[in-house]
Amino acid sequence: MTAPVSDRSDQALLQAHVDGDADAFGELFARHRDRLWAVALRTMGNPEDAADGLQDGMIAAFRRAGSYRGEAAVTTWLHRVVVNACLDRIRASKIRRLEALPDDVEDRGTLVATAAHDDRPEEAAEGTERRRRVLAALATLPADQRAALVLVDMEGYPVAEVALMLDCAEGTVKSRCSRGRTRLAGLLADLHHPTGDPPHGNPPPDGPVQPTVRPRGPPRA
Amino acid sequence: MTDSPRPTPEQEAVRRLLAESRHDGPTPPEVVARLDEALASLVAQRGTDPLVSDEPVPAPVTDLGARRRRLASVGLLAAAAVVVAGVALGQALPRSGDDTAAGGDAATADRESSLAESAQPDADDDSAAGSAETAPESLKSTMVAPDAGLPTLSSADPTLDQQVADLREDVARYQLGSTDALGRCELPATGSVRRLAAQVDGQAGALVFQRPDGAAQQVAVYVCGVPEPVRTLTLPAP
Repeated sequence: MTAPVSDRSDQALLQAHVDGDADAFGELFARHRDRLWAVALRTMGNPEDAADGLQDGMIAAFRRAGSYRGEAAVTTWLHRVVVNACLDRIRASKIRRLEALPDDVEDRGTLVATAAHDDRPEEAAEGTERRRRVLAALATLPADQRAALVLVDMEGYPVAEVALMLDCAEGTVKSRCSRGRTRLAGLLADLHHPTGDPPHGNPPPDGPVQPTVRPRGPPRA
Repeated sequence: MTDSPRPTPEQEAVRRLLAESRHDGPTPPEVVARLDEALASLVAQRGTDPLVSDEPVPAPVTDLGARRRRLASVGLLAAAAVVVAGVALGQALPRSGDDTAAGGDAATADRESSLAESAQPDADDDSAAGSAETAPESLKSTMVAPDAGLPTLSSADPTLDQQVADLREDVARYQLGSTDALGRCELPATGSVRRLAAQVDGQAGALVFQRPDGAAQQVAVYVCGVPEPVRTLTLPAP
């Protein structure tokens, strides 16, 4: 994975790997590793299990690169293999993610987010606590719903692409997301209806969603 | 599956909370190092030969939940068929007849339903499984021999501490085989720790490395399926 970065496309790298180029897969995987890690981390719920799931996925992708048909983007295929590896691991070992959440909230993403608010410690603490609550609630969902929410709402991938990643119909992805959000809404009711700041007047029934601070969406190449 | 209705304001709020909880950091260096080691092993095993698929017809990805539901449905139908067949035969056969005849037919129906059930997983009617790309789960059965290359340990060995300490230093060597074997090993929930598959007392087992606590690190030696460790070790922290 330390091979020099080339300007070859993902597909060219994957084909080169299939043809025997020893460095191509490492370059390809390193290119998408951080986003795959984020998905694995949020799907598994803690860094240790995420590392296991990501490694499972990497091994499967390495060995089965020849099965890639080119029907979806290589990154979609990689996500699919890694997510499947994570879900397999969850199903096989019935991991108790809640027990590991204290480790997860100390992961690097949290630290980075906290560091951005060094001058506002109360805000940083609130953000950390809110994130801990969200991750704890997410961990209570069935794995399929959790994976759909991680890919759609956290990572911002389009539903159609997530359907390819999860190998199911778009309607199934929407349904899993909807059920998961409904359950999370109940678990996190106090976060989106802060007790100290009651809403003024009736909110518009179908008002536009306010943009988040950070833009969501798949990483740009 | 039909489309879900328009998201409610509560659901939209949840979407925002989830987006704010996205992980934005890079892959931790220790994970990168571990992946690099695993990849180096894969490359070394393969050499520079073109990749040859040892599975000519890749199994499609299957929704395990849907499969379980199908199996449950088939099981119920089979059980119902057995009951109906038994009742029908009981009605059709003369009362003075040989009871074993009805029992035999019922047993046959049972066998057939069992065959139908066992064949069900191969008859994939899941519309979601249209792709020919392969899922990791279906790959695991074709990977290297289950416990090949795993360390062999004895819980009664007086030098077990040193052996485990050596394994900890050379964990990457066993990582690939371990990944497969751990997937089949029932272990108690151990939280966020590192695990390594091993042969323990002649059985499939695992080493569970707890996070180092100061100058020490606890390591539990398990036999798969046994909730209590067969040996617990305290090693100097790495």
